[in-house]
This record gives sequence, structure tokens and C-alpha cells, in this order.
Amino acid sequence: MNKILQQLSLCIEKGRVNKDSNYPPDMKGLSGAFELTRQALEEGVSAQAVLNDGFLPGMKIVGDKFRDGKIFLPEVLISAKAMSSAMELLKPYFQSGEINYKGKVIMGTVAGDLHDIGKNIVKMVLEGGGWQVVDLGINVRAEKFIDAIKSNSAKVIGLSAMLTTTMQNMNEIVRKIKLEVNDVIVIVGGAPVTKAFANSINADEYFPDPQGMLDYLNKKTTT
Amino acid sequence: MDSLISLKQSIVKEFKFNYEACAISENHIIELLGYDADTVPEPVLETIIFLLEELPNKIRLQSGYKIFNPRKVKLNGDNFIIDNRTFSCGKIIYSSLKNSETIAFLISSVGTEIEEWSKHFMDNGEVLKGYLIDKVASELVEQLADKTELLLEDELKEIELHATNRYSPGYCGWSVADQQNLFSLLPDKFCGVSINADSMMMPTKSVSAVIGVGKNIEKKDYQCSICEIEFCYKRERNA
Repeated sequence: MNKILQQLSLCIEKGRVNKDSNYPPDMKGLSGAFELTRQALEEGVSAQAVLNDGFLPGMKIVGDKFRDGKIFLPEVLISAKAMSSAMELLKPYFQSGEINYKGKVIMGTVAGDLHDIGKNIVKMVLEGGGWQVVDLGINVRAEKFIDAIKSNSAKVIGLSAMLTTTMQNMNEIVRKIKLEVNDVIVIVGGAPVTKAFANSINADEYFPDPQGMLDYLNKKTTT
Repeated sequence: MDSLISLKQSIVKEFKFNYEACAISENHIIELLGYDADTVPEPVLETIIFLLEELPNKIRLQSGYKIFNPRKVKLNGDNFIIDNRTFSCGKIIYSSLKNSETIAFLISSVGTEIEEWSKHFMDNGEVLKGYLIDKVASELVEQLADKTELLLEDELKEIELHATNRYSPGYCGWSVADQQNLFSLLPDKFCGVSINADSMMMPTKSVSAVIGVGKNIEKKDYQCSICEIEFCYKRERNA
């Protein structure tokens, strides 16, 4: 693999945003994810390679460490910040179609529920894993989810709920989605949600953490 | 003297506290996040220091309780009734409340500013700051509820009564829909808190709870082992 991309991957893993950053102390003075992304593009590395061989391996290591309990959520967010600052440089390539996302995921917090921190963290992890996320925000009704699935031709939808009552709204939303749209994978999550509840409302999958969802989606694309 | 006779009418108390009443330390936040002083990453520590400097200006600590006149309260099978409103609290909570002679409601809130502060950072891509503020706000409101619970217990001790643990709609198998009943029995915007049609409290960093009161009751541990919600904050807090 290109040496710049290896270094870029390391910067994302370690959460090194740019050259001016003091973090991590052992990389002080060195280029960060932002400069290395720019350098790679200037040297003719394809934007797709920057994403696939620079960004994704770094975030994969971070996600695996988090899943295995070796790091905590703040470190995932530090890495995600390094990635998102460099991602700004790739935006034009996404817009031109030069880079392909792995797929598109519609996400939202279900009707009645105004919590968005958990959903936002899942969104960051999925984006860091190369997925395009269409974020419908909070307090989202079934009709809005269905419209978004249809207008984006999406195959995956993620629903978040943080309260036991809004879990019941999740039930109704899943029912309506399944009635209106064929061939869509409905994934549910949130603090009070359990695997048993997900099964009971006919959701396709439940994950207690963002990395579980990302691993599942990545596996789906390769099978 | 029969201590419950002194509760001839409901008692409502509301408190306002300054930040020092529930101050949270740097080390406490570090521990909340899973680290210790040696392992906390520098950007996390910097964010905590920033947060602690600003926090006193971002919170509005309000709490209170209402102890109901025992004549208005009935415990009935798996639920309890106050003023003809039935609370279907479920078997886990009912088993703790069943020997109560009356019921108290407790409300605590840290206000709206802190959640707006968190949202501001989240919306501007400063997710670490937004997340840490949210985490600290959740801890602060629980600490405030702990403090208010102690104030209630002190008041009850004076009339030789005891209190159970506190139990909140939405946890331990109790549907959060009962918030509608709970808030209907409190003064309007008690402690600055109201609920929406979906029973969500505003401000969101608020706690509502029910506490059993009586002469012969004891405070039992939460029965997380028989509840199926694996990632409940009460399980985490009581671990």
C-alpha cells in the first residue's frame, strides 16, 4: 500500500487531525489526516484509494478496538473527527461520482423521540466506514421514512429510540415500512431496545453498538 | 403517635440549587467515561476542563417532591392508584412499593441550556464536546435526584417514616406513558418540567420518579437481574 495512505490510516486511528494539532503527543509536528489526504490527491492517488486504503482501514481498527472494549467512545469520536476533517477534501469526488459509497443508509430517531446523540454517533461510524447516511433527524414519522427509502432507492434503514414509549412507535413504523416497501433491511437500536423486542416487531436486525451495525453492513456488501 | 396521621394533606416542596450543590469533579467525569487519570486521552481531558469551566453557567438545578395524603393512595395488585389515576408500574416496582402506606413523586431537572449547549456542538461537528456535555448532564440530573431523595428521606425521618428506592416511568418494566398521570398530579411546570404528547420530559435532562413511603418499608437494591433491558443506565449506575 502507498506509504502516504498507510500514514493517513495511522493518523485516523490515532485521531491526528492536522499538523497544528498537539495530539497525539508522539506525532507532534507531523502531518495529520488533512495534510496527508491533500498530499495523496496531489500526487495522483485516486480519491477512491484514499477512502478505501487510507480512511477505512484506520476507522476499522478503531471500531474493532471499541467493540473489543480496548478503547472507549471518546477515542472513537476523536478518530472520527480526524477522518471528517480530511473527508472535506473528498467531498467533490463524492459529488462527481468518482468515489462510490458502499451503499446508502436512511437513519432517524422515531416519532415522539427527540434524542439524537446515539443516532449521530452511529452515523459518524457508518460514514467512517464508507457508507452514505441520509439523516432524517429526530421525531420522524413512518411516512417520512418511507418517502426517504423510495426517493433514495435505499436498501437499509436504521431506526433509533431511547424511550420505552417511543419503542412502541418504532413498532408501528416498522409495520408500515414493511407494508409499503419490499426488500429493505430494517435495523433498530437505542438504549431500551433489545434483540427480543426487535424480533417481536419484525425488525430485521438489532445491534447494541455502532460497530456491530457497520460490520453487518460490510458483510452484507461482500456476500 | 401514628406518623401517617401527620400526613393529613399532601406535601409539595420545590428547591433551587446553585451549581456547588451538585458539583462534579474532573476525576468523576474521567471515571464515567471509563478512564482513569493515567489513561484519559489529552483531547478528552482538555474537553473536560473546558466543560467544567463553563458548566456553572449552563445549568439550572431545580427539584422537588410531592408526598401524597395516604387517604388518596391505594396499592392494588400490580399497580397503585392515586386520586383515581391508575399507575401500572409492573411487578418489579410493585414488589418494592407493596408495603408502602403512601407514595411520593420526585422531579429533578438541570434545565434546557445544557442540552442546547450540547446540541450546538453536535450540530457544528464538535461531536466529542457534544457527547461529553450530554453525558455530564445525565450524571448531574441523577446526582440532583439523589440529593432530593435524601431531602425527602430527612423530612420523612422526622415523622418516623421511611422511603423505598426511586423508580421512574420507562424503566424496570414501567411504561413511560404513565408520565401523563404522574404529571397530572403535580403543579403545572413543577420544577420547570413539562411533558409532551409522547410522554417525553422537557427539558430532556430531567428525572421523574415514584417513591414508596411507610413505617415498615426498606430500601432494596434495583432488581436488574430480572429485567431484560441490558443497556439500561440504572444497570450501569448500580454496577
